[in-house]
Amino acid sequence: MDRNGYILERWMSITLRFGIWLSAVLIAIGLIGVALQQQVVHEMTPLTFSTFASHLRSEPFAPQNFLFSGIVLLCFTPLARVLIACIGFMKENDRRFVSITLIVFLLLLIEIVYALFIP
Amino acid sequence: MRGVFLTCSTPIFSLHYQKLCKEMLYFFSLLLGGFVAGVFGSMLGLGGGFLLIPFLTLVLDVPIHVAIATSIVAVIATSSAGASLNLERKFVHTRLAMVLEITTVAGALLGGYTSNLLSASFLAKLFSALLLIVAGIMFYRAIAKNSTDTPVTTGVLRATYFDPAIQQEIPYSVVHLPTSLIVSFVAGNISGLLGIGGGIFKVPAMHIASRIPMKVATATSNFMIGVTAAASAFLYIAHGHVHPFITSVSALGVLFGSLCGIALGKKISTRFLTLLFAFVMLFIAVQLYFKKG
Repeated sequence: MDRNGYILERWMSITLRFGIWLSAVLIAIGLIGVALQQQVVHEMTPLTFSTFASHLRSEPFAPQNFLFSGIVLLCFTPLARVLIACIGFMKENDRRFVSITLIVFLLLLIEIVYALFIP
Repeated sequence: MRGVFLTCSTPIFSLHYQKLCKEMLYFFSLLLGGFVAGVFGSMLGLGGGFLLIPFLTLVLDVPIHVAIATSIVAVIATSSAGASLNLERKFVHTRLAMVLEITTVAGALLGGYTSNLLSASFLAKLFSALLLIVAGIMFYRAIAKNSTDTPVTTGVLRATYFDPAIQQEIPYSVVHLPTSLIVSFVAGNISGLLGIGGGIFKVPAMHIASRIPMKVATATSNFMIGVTAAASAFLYIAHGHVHPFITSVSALGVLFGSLCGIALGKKISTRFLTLLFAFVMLFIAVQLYFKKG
């Protein structure tokens, strides 16, 4: 493997680690918030993208918003890793793998857009 | 669980403290359940989902769609943590992973879409059938002798990896790529449908059919699992199956548990454990099959 390959792997590793830590911090803030407000977790309802958006508008600093943001960020972490891989292959001028990575990225993007439009 | 909750209902506690006590117990049950699922899941090479989903549905009475969504988020967390380490150790075949991700993501999307159309009782029966298959694989693993790595260098996507055990750079390549592509699709589909990582199917296919060294196959599969799980995760969020508290606490538990499991796995012989858990899986499969509601 050449030097570019090592740099690509390093960047993907950093992206994954950054995603996990950031979402862990958001989840930790959310859990501390739940404990401080003595929120009844049994009464907490599952969130969708649309209910999350309305929660953000009405109560931006509610603990469950932090929890949900942490979960969503975690779900976006592998997606960011695919994007980094695509950029890495572009730098290596490997057109075949840029196309392959773009197909994976597009599949994920289509799914997110579809998920966002589910009422 | 109800029995444990009753201990807080003694008259010395006010109603407020009874509630608080229940919440604390629920928190620690989720965290501990996730942790134990993570420890044994990673020691047995299964991932946390196989034990987390039955724990959430059978013990804490969480709806199966929520349990599956929780497992998927936990899978993303553990896969990302493991992949980050494996990338640094250069065990991941990034290009092979990208090729296989096309079919595994397509399979996961289909699985995630189908799962949200199926009833909870049907999903529970499907999961119990999956547990039976996994128990069979575990029985085989426990009695079969370990195969030796004999990499082929005449295939496609040639690469090398450094084996620390023999202090040597090992060249290898990929053969019978279509077989791994098909298995990746099926594994992705099962992952999206039932919330597991799918490594238990991908790793043997990559190792046996495509002749990829075990270390690379395991690391590459783990690397792919995060993207596979993310592919269906957004569908579960959109259908309202992600409970912020249950999901985040269980995922944290599984993440820490799997990190401990990796460390413990190096010290403990897993053959007996594999056999033991094969029976545990059989027991859980029966429980889940006959679960009402």
